[in-house]
Amino acid sequence: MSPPTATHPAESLELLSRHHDGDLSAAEREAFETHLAECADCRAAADAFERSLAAFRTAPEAPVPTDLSARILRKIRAQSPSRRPFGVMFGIDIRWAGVFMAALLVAIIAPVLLSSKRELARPASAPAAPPDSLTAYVVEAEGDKAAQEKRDALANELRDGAKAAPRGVAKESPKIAAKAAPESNAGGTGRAAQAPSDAAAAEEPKTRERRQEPASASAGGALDRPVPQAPAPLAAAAPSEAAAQKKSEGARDGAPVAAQQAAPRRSVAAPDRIGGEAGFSAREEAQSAEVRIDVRALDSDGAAPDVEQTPAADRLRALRGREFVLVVEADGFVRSVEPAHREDERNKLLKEKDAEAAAGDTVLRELRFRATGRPRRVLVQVR
Amino acid sequence: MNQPERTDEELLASARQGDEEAFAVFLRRHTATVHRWMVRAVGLDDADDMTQDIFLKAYRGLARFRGDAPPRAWLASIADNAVKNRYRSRSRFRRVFAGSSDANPDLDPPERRAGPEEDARTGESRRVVAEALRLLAPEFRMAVVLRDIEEWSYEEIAASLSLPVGTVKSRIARGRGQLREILTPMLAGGLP
Repeated sequence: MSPPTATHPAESLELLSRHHDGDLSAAEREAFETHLAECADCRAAADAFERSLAAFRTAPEAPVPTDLSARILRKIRAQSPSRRPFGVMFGIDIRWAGVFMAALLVAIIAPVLLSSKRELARPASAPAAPPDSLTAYVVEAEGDKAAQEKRDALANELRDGAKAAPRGVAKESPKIAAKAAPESNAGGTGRAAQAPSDAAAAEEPKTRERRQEPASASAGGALDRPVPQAPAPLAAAAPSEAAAQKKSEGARDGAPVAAQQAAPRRSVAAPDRIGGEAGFSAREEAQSAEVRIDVRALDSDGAAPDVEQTPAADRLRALRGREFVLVVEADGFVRSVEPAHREDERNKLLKEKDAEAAAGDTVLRELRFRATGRPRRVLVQVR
Repeated sequence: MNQPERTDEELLASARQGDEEAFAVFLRRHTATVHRWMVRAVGLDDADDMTQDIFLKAYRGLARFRGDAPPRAWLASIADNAVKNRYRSRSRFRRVFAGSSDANPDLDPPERRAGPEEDARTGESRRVVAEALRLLAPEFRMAVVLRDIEEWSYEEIAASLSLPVGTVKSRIARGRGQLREILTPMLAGGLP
């Protein structure tokens, strides 16, 4: 801005600007306009000032794009992080994300469920079909004397009815109690004898296995000791009694039965000691002494291998509530045992880890799995 | 249905509560005005982008709108900052990549590449004014636009730009002086 001079006040931009805006006082305006009339230089300067402003003000307007507002609104909705439409987070519409997650969940769970159903539907004559990915084994002890008495009493009651049941398999291999195969229809004494896999399995001692599928199970073999442990042997022993027993058990254990149906399992009655004879009990009586082992495959080689021999129940009981990762050799022997915990539990149990690992290593190495011809990695949960 | 009748203050108050439609009404109401400012302040080529930037900034800055000044003054202050920032970053770019010493319009020869006679002959008065504006110092642009295009009072402009009224008068005067220096040769060359 040029400083005003006495001779040429129009050199002052502020004077020209205020004169243009009518911001001068009456005296200032009169003095300035009197001077302009007399001074050509100031008049020329003031004229140039007014002309340039007029040119600036009258320049043609530019048309506003008709969709400009809409474009800006789209941009705002797309970019504004603080005021997104409902359900949008981190640029993701969580409503669609929820649908996607549900679909993903189904995709993950469906193969497991289908695999379980296939296992349930597998006929007894097809033992080579893939086993369940999660297999549960019930390991029972005979230590409870009172329970044993009850079991014996119950067994005596049922013995007469079970006489007609085929026992050939059990007699040939007294340490194998039963190996159940799923049946679509319950009962049928003949079915047990028709299961060749059970005969083969009967050669493997020390393990008593049954499928806990009360509505559909039938025994693959008869009891070596006719003490009812669960509906499956009972069904094999006598259809009518099996039905009665199933009914009574269903009444007693309605919810657990339903749960077991949803998650197919096999139970194994193990000897009190390694190599000992398996003991059996009615399920409800064995609850206190029951130790269950859940086996889940951790590798991608299909379902977990079948357990053919378990450690003694009283030894397993010390491991209740714990999980272990086992590496199983191709021949079914346990190569290594490692405690498995979630990360938070791992820190919490850090002090106990050594003792636990030692205990688990000692006991679970006694597990024997069916030979699969390749090393496997499984998760064993002791319950 | 009643929203077009709501005042700017009411619309912005609703928008601050998360009412997007209220802000949309406010935006539609002022898009043409802000676009007009930007055509004068930065030229037609960049007016759309600058208008968009200003409304985006306004939307993000809703929480800071206290209602102390009229909503259009608040918009003008956002526009003023956007214009100054735009030329600040551009001059930085020039210094780094073109070796230009400053954004001083008088020392910026590339802007004068199109002769005023040629512009006048083709009758592109809009482009000539836009060229002139590009030579205007950024800090003067919004003050001049608000005063000479929008005919706001000094006090309104002072409130918008958070400046004393005396400073506003000074900036307007200096901006007009620069326009005279830029446009007089163009006008002498025959610009209508």
